[in-house]
Amino acid sequence: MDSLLELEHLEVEFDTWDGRVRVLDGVSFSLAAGETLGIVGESGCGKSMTALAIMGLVPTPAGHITGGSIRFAGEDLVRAPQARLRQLRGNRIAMIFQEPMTSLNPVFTVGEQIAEAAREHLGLSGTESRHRSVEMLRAVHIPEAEKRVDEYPHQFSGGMRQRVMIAMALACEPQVLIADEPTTALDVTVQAQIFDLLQELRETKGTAIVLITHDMGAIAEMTDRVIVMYAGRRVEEGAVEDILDRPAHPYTRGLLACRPQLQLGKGAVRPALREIPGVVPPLHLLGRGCAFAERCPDAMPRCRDERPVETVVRAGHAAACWLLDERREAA
Amino acid sequence: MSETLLSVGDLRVHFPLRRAMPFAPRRTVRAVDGVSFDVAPGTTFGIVGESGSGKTTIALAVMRLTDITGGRVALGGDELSALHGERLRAARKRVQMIFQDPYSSLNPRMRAGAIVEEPMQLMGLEDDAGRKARARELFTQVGLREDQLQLFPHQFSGGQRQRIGIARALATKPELVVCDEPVSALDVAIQAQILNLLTELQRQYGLTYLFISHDLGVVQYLCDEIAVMYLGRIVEQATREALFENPLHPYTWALLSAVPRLGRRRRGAASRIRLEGDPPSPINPPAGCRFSTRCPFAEARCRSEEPPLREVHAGHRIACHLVGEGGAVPHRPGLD
Repeated sequence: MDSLLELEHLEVEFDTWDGRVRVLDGVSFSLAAGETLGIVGESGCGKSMTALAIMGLVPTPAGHITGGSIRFAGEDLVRAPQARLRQLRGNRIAMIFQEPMTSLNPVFTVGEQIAEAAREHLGLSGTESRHRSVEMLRAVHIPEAEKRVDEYPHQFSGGMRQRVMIAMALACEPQVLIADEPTTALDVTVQAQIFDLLQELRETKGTAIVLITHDMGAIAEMTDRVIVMYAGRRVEEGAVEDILDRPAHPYTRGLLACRPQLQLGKGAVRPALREIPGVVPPLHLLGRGCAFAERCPDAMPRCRDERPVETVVRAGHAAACWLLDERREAA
Repeated sequence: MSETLLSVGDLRVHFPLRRAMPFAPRRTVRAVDGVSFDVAPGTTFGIVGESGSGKTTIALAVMRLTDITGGRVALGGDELSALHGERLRAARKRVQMIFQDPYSSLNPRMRAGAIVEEPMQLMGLEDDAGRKARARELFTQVGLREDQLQLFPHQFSGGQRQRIGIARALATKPELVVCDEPVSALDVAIQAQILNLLTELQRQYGLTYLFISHDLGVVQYLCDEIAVMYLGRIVEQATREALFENPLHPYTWALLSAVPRLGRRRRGAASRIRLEGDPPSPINPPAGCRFSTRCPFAEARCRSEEPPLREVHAGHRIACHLVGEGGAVPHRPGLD
């Protein structure tokens, strides 16, 4: 498969009061057209920063991309000038954010906000872009699109606002859609509607999706491949079946076990729950070893001294953990 | 149910809205509109529902933090809803609350120890030394260190702050603890730590929880009996086993089938009831069954006649015209 978006050893650093902190440390993945990639991890593990880096929106002056590359259709975005990024952003690569309440501008109608991208990137006239807005609102299943195109964000419910955000993001038919926790602020039945909509867009338009989430259930339902991040590092990557059924990294196993998973139907029992002790360490205090060692139930002395290298478990499934190395040596 | 600690009967909480214009008709938000349930001591009673279903308003009404329009709330025979002034204050030590947001529910200018001592001080429990000793004891019980008593809230992580909130709730040795979404503001990995702490404290002290949540996995983990709310009313109420094995109300089924699950790979849409639109407003709830505007099975009767909450099996109550005696359901039974 040809990859559309490719990250290689991406490094992002921030200047803070505690010194220079590496918030992304060698993140790599590739995304093919029509594929859905999940990025999962706790808050502060670098999921959203990865998304912002792809969009060329790392907050300056504190943050810098200090290494690695982001290739979109062969072009390196890290070295591309801002003007080029502006051409791509909202056009070829689009993003939807977690907070549908705050990511829309309250003083413009939703139609104007959707039309803006279409005018800017596709060169549509006022009337054409308005038609485009109505068409997009229909595509995201907003009833009475002709009427609602002239309404303001406060007249929409949370789920409807997220649909408007998606309509905005899709106005130029992007090849890549980055969805950063798109349903966290929504009710579960509305979340199901948004997931169905994203699936539909992927099937009809072939949009590649990067879904950022902390919910393994969403990963199971939406994605083809998954990367698990911890403290700015990629700790595991694999097909969704590998990650869910044969997780190789203790952190991935922890994430799967630390939320009670709903059990339904005959013989539904009370779900199991195993906590991950402790919290994500402050990034400026990371030692030389594995970032997860402090919280890992299986940590060995080596884990605290030496940073684990990525080990291939099976085709397309790799994890950065010394335990895998031990096992391989023992075998 | 033989023994009852908390008894809520036909509870109504209505909020009058300002008139849009001087002679416009009066409008009312019927946040909770006729809700009854009993909670046995030492158990956890869960209330689930989406935003606007009225679950938090029930919590506030039980705490007497909002005015009750009608109905009663009784705690072990004492009618909380009828108490006023000093007697209400005295009763408050028996009911305490754990809040959703561990950031805004702690006073940033108070030290953690003082936060935990404050409820005892307000209720006039123990002397100064006794309160300090109790705060130390509570800190250890919730998994914090004694030397952290001197710190301010901003020096703690979100999970630790929630532990302070729990310690504060337990300070007056309450019988009933109302937990309003106590883990939903916390990071995934931290949620399990707090849930396990709540379970452990309940086991140790025989606490009774009224647990409000929108997270069905969490509710299944923690609750013995569960009420599902929709627009200010209970639509289904059952034990944990019955509700998750055999949900009867179409709304419950829609809610349960909307939860993303690990076993359901990339075929979520096929196995769920798809609810169109958003819940209607509690200002003008639809006539008849309140769910009828979104229910895929609704018939003419559902739109005109409000279904009563009735018992179909022992301990399994449901408000739906379409569910037959003995629990024959209109929707595809069984969930994969």
